[in-house]
Amino acid sequence: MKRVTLELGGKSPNLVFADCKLEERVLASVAECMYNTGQSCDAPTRLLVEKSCYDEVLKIAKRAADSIAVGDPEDEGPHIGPLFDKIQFDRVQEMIKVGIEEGANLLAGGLGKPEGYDVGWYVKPTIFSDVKNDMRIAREEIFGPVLVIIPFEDEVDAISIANDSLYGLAGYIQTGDPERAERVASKLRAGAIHINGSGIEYGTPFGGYKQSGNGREGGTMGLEDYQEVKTLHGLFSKA
Amino acid sequence: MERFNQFYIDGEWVAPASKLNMPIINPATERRIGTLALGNREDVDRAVAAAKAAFSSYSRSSKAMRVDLLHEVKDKTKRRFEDLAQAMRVEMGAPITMSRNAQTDAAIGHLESFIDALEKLQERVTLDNGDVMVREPIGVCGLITPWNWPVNQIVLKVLPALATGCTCVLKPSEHTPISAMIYAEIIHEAGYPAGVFNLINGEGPIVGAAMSQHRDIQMMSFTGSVRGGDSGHTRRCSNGEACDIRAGWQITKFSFR
Repeated sequence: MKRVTLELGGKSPNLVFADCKLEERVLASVAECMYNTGQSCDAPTRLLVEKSCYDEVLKIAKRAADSIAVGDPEDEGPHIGPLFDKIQFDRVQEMIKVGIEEGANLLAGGLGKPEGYDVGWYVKPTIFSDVKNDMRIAREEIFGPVLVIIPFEDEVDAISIANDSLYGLAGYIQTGDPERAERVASKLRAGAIHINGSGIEYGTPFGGYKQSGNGREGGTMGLEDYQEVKTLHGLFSKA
Repeated sequence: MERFNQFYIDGEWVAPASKLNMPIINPATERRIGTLALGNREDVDRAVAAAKAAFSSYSRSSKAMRVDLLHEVKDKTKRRFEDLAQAMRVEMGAPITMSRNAQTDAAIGHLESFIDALEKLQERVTLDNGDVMVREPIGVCGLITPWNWPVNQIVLKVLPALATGCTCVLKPSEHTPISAMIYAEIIHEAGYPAGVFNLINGEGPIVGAAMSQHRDIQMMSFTGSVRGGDSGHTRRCSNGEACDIRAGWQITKFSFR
């Protein structure tokens, strides 16, 4: 029997509570979803937003998406590049089409290449709002710069939507209340919970719950996954 | 590039048995960078045989030697830093600033934390009840890595294997082979014994499947997609038994990311 460790992706929730620094946290959240052109397994791809600040968040998110630059990988700077291959370009275009057909509101971006990029597998940073968590664009990993925004009523509702996923790789919480941060973190079924934009350090075990896989990579736990344990008995006389 | 037609097996760059190949395209320009040789079951057998032969002595190497080798890897990685960054820019379109500051930085960051962890790791412990517990390398490891964080995922699998005294066969994503070839050169220059690390390229349903079914591989570490659900690609891991996939999910399709 082989030992098997797996890391299989995610659809990680990002819970935005009205008590966070809204402008700063929403701008950063959109940027983080689009980072690496959305091709990260632990990207915060489901933005769950408290209803009391939902309209304001949509305005900030649209501004954020419109300001994300797409550009040539050869150029220095914080822009995002193309997707890795035509295969991925086609997959992402298909999922944007699915989102439109499912009735989500296209807040930014959309189908096709950004203006001026006929060559290369570039896509538009895209945001859907008024998304329902049972839509395909909220359930399937798109692996491109596509964010879905889903409103929630209160903390209990937010946790319920966050955990309603096959995946459990990461979770993100934006709040000004440290007690809420820890309380919500304890209820999210995911391997890494990022509070107010904090990243993971090298050496911290990385891995997921549920369909995101098993095993942990990095640091001490990352070493232990490659070891067998053997016990020795009777090496020393007990007399 | 010469390495496009070669695998790194048993300490040297060799010609594959397979005649399969595929074009490697720069996603920013859609221009062909080269044509990559893709392996088959015979190539997997050859790489696993080298890893198996190397395991008998490397598994008994001292922790001090393994720590020293990791320091050599760090030294060589620093020298090849820009090569790794440019490789990922070309093969996956990573913008050069983040390719350096994040994608390639991971090669050093994870390595340093593995060195710290290995130095502190107790490989032999006397338990409170008087019994002794030892931690031993599990064996030959099959490592399958994706295209989205190519070097990050390679170091997260190759380094702990080598740190603990395992030997390995790496199959990186066939879409991002250049950074993996450079990493193989880094491992070679660091001075690992022949066969400890082996690199083959290929497609999941052929090379990935042959690895997951191989009787001489004791562990598979896979990062990729659970997409597909094509049961035709479901693989049994060894000796006719189903994989010990602890979360209970099947690898239904090796459509690697």
